[in-house]
Amino acid sequence: MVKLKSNDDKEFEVEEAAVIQSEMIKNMIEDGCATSVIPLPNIDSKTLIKVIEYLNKHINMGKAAETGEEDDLKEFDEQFVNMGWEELFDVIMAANYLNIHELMELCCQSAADRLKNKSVRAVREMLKITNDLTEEEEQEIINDAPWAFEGPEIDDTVN
Amino acid sequence: MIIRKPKGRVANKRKYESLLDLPDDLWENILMRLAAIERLTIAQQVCTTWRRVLKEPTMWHVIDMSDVRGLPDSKVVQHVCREGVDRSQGELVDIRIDFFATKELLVYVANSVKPGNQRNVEALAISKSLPALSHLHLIRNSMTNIGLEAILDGCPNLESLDLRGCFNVSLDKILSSRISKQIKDVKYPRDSLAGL
Repeated sequence: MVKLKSNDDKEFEVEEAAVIQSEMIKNMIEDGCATSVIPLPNIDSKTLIKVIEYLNKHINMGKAAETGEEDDLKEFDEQFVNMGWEELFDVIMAANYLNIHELMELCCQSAADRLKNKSVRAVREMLKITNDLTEEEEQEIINDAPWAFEGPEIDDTVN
Repeated sequence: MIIRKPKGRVANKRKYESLLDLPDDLWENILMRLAAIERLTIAQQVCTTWRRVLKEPTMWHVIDMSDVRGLPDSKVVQHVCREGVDRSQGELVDIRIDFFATKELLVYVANSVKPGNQRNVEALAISKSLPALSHLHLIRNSMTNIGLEAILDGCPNLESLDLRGCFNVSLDKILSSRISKQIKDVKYPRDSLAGL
């Protein structure tokens, strides 16, 4: 078992087989740097719990294909990314820090899927983005690409 | 003066003022999953961060224009494609264009790609957009083995293939036997061009 510590000082025990899906921790273990607790100063306990849930479910990914558990995993993944934007971004940051490739793919794809076909206004509202383009920049965008404003039907809802 | 947000904020910041606090490289990872047309029509108008990220040539190494169904105006698609090619700054490695690929567009793409990548642009475009092709003449084409292999992979129904003058193709044993197995009527790079 490997012990991980979140930045709010909570410790979690994770099976080595699960935790080595993180390239970062795998390297630490190989280099003999994972003998005691591994502190994760960038990850809070709430996010770490989600990440560990993912790691535990995805142990032995290769075997899933043989045992017909692929659909099960797919369903799990769909449920897993069913979370708010802030939580999703926390998990993306954690997955990036821990270098868990499959989890990054899953979460970034989910983020992109949510943005698909949305209008500019809807995107800004979903992500709490204030328009910080200057008038000159906005005019530049229009001048550079007047055709961009004749685009396809777009979705103005924020869900 | 524009003051940029520092890169790489920590993940545990409880309340995001704005969800833009992700570092640029993570935004790149997300935005490159949007279709090229969406990046240029919607995403670049959202804010300066996205606009900056979308100007990175790495965002345009792969341009997939295959899913543009339901577009009222194919001119928009052509514009998007050209703009994407420009933004790649010659680093384009893979482009997928379907039905709207006019000859002008293919020439435009081919001319804007750096020599190393350029040689296979037409071959790659053909391999990806014309899977049902049965006869292909690529006389004096600049493609290398990469382009040829892409065509063999992407056009399984080829019955005839004319490679005369394609001197960048070097046929080793494996490739030759693959061609002769897959295609009935082959003209090889060094075959005579007489009669053209």
